[in-house]
Amino acid sequence: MRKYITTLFVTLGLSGILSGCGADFLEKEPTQYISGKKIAELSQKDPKLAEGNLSSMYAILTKEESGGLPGNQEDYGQKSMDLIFDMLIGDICKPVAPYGWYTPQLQYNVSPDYSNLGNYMPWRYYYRIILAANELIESLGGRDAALEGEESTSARHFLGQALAMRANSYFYLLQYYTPKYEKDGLSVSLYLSKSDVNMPLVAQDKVYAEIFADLDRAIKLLDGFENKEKTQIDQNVAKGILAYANAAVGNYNEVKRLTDEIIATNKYRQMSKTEVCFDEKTKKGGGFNDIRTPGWMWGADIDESAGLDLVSFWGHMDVFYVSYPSVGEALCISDALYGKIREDDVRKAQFGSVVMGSGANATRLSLIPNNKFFNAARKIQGQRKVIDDYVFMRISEMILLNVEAKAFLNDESGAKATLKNFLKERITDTAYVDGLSGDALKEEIQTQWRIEFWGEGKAFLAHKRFGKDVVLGKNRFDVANQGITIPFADKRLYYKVPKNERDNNPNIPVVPSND
Amino acid sequence: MSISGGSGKTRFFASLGYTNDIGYTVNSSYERFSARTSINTNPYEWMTAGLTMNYALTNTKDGGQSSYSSTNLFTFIDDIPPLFGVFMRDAQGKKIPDPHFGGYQYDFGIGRPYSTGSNAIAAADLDKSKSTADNMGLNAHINFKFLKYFTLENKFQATKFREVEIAATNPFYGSEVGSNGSITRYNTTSLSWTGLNMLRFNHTMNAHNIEAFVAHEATSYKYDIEWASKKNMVDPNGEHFRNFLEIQGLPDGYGYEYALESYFGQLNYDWSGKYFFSGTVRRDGASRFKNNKWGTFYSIGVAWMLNRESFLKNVDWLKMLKIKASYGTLGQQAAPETYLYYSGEDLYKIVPLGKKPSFVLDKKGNPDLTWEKSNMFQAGLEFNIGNYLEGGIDFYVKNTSDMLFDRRVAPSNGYAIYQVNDGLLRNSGIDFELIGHVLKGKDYFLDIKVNGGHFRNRIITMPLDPSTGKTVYLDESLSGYARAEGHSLYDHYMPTYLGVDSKTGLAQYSFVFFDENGDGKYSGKDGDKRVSSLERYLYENPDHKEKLVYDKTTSGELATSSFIGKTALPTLRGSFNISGGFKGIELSLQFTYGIGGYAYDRQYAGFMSNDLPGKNNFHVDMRKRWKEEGDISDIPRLNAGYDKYTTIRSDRFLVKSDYIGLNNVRLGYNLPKEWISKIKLDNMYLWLSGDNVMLLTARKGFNPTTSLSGASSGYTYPPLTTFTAGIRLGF
Repeated sequence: MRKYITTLFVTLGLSGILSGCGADFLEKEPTQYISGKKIAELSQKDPKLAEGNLSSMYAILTKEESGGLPGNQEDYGQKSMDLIFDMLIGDICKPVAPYGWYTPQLQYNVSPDYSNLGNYMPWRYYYRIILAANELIESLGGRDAALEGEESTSARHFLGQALAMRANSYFYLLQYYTPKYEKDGLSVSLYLSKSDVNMPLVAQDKVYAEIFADLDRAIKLLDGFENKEKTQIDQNVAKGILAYANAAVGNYNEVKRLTDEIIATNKYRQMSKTEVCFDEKTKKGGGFNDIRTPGWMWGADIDESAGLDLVSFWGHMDVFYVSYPSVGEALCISDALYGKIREDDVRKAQFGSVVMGSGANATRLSLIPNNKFFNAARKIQGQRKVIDDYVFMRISEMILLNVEAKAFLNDESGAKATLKNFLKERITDTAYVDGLSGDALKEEIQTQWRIEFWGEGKAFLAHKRFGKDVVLGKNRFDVANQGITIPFADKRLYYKVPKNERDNNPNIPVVPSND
Repeated sequence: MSISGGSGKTRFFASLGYTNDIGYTVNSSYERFSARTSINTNPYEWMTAGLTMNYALTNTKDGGQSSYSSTNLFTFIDDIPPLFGVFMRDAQGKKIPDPHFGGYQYDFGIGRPYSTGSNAIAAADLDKSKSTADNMGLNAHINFKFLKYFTLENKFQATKFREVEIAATNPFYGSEVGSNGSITRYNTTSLSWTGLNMLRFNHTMNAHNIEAFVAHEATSYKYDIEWASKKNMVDPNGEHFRNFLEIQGLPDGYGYEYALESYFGQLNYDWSGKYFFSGTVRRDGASRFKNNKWGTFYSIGVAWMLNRESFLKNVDWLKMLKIKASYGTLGQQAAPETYLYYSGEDLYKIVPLGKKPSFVLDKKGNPDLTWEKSNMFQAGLEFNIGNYLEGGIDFYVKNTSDMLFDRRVAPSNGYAIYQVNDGLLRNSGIDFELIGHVLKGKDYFLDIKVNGGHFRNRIITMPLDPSTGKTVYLDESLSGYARAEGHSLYDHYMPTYLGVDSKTGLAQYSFVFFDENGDGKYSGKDGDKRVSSLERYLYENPDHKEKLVYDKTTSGELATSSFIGKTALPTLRGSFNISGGFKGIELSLQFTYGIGGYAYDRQYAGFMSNDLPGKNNFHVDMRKRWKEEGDISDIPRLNAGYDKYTTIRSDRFLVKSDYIGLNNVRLGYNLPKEWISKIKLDNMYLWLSGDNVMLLTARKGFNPTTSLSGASSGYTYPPLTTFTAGIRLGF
């Protein structure tokens, strides 16, 4: 008996020791993330999921930390890029800065100093989109993949969007990281395949050539693509990006052709005077918070599922959110720019003032955009989770690009007619436009860019094209910069290839010549 | 309270415990109720079995300890300039009564330059941050002896943890007035278990002792978290979702897990307690690696008890002398971040875009990742001399190769980091411990115990840069440090602070430039080049060395970083203990100490920064700043943020990390037997104990012991100085 028991134990013991666990004991799948392997597996069974790869490019536009700076509350995607643009040209400023987000940018501590992490954020953000686009482009067979026939319709539309998104990212990188348009000027790194590694900086015209090629192809591929929600790039948006790229290199014939085409589709209507501003008397109008606005061409449709709160455009912009403005630290319009808005311009009322706190502790915030960008409930600190949308492109941009193209092509009467038609919805008496010509007309067009698109980042693109010095306002906390003039293409006005890239990319010298 | 007992072959034990610690800040406390039962049985000579179960319920309140400056008490109190009050005042300067919570209304400082719209004291007082957790443990074993020399041991151990955390914000004051109060509830569970089967062989034959085993062990860990938020509350004290009317954000949650599996065996042999030999071989598999899950590691060791040799037999004062040496390899796979549990895969975040999914690449995976390996050689001796001095000295060299670390890649590649195995690091050091029984008598004693460790840390081979095929020359990715061959992981690399320009009051920093035309001036053109990183520049331009000019600058942009010859690592760290007793009175003092090393005092740098008035608190040293031309001071002028480079990272804020701390004092008294026997007691012990009694460092308030690099931070709960008194009775 004893012997049997012994044998039993030995068998048990050895089996425990030698058999080990099942083969899959050491195979674990994450649920905090989803692995690339799993996405591929699931997409095979459910083709709808394949669109998740396309959507990733759009998700990056609004996602926290897409600029690679966890914990940094300036890092929330495209709208932050847009705000920084307006800060660089001084149109957005802060009278007080207790918390200090964006203060390094406002003080011009970021742009001249490549080691400042602020230079890293846009770089990381746009190249993140470029990698996502490159992965998609490659999976669909590359830019020139034939993709013909009915069965390839969605593949064509995916590829078109990915190409347009890649082009858009390179376009923005050029605006951020070069002083001005110079064909041969050293610019940014060009990655056209997901297998490209540590690419060197190349001349601007090389990047522009790829932007044009991507967009030309995208416009063809997007023929027939309908996106009623306006959350994706359709043919008109691709044309809009191409119009911007052409304008940046001074190719205004193309700008005119493209913007004429977009306007002629009649798919959009310029935002009306009631749509651009909250009327304190009627308690109606305005908001810049709804993607369904007929004047919007492209945007992000945001609801609570996005999980955004303080770290967002609204968290920095709107007193009606639990936001920095709602505790007294507001982004304001520069008094210099505000002074340029005519008294009979409805947009003057976009900027108002709000009293925070009460009695001895009351503080007044002035020149804040409380009637341009706001949550519809208009209750101070009334909303925490972001439920309002982001705008990326409006038809008004196309109209002003059209005006600008005509002016630069010396069709001044055409430019003035289109401008007046545009301003009808903004200004009571537009007769002053008739008296403008030459530089004065161009200056007025640039001013209209700054007023119409305050807080939308478009005025910086115009600044790059018009090449004028920047004059800062006086309602700034950074005393040293009050009222100063910064010459065009000054090192304060464009970002530098970030330190991290120089440290880790052996093909980029520590001090590149475009610094 | 505990009960234990049993009869014959079965013993049992059960205990209950309760503690309640109230923190010194408002709404911070820790309460613990614990229970434990255990049963052990030995029914046959060849079988033992046991089962232990324990349970603990903990309630934690941690108000005001968030990681945000606006709601962290410690940062708030450190940084708020004292001219701002805690409470709201009316026009007459009187406090305003609070109708909701009683007491007075807090001042949230709308428009205050420091942290406007917040009051961390109010947040700690009026909001809720607490958790309650169940901890359950199970320990079981069953062992069999057979065939005389064998034992089969089977162990199973499991821990289950479940926690509900509540973060509720009041509807009347602060950040959630707009949502009329809100709550977030987090549910966390985790389960870990380990199973072990071990077959042991034990045999003694004459002078030969052999012990050997083979074993298999499996470990699994699984964690789950989910949370949801609601807002618009009915009852301000309600903590359940029904008390809130609207949802705030979408509920969310996820889990992660890992598993380890090991096979190992060991052989120990000694000959008549004089010569010892041991050898171990193990093979470990980890779920976190994808293609290379398994690693094999081994070690061998020898020891020699010299005092048992005949030639030392007659040396009476030598009670024990042992020398030992070992060599072996160790594997390391620790994942400090949960995403690293899956480091072989490209990980995408699922981001909802409306109702559609999107997959955003978040972490780049490395399928070839595997175990980090250390080869360690150790030698040492242990001794006991005449029962008065005992101790030991150990010397070690540890070479760690295939180190697991995050490789930064150029961000233009579209991702910034992925984990790799690379590099070779050497740690070497000496540890010692000495115990002296200075006095020993019938009713008195005095013991002194000293221990310490000195270690060096040196990079032997830098990791490879895959794009060039060469090793990286200099890695500056950790701000304030640089890694290079021959340097430690913690060598400071930053600009040198060169004092204040007595004319302008501006801070001056080291500035090196390449002077092409040899005029001794930096022009920014004509081939003059500024050097931002000296080590890197010399590596890239070795022929420029002769023409470098070492100048100073008041511009932080131009400042040049270099190795400044200071390291964060201490030369010696350890503790010493003095304990003595006389007739039942005992006193013991426990000190810790550190000598050498420099730490970056971030908190002091914050207090010395050139902020707008009222934006931050100042250190008293600010009084000694430069004020007018000719002033000789080490502290630059103050002008409300106009100067940008007053406190850039430089060696100005490096402080010696030397410290000595009195960690514990304990005074105890054992009452004489004759006194207590009258009240039917076996023994009675009274004691008084103090923890964290004192810490002396180079700067008052600076604590270099909270992190390896010694750098300070303002968000942590400073170590509590506590005094405890107690009484122990034995029946």
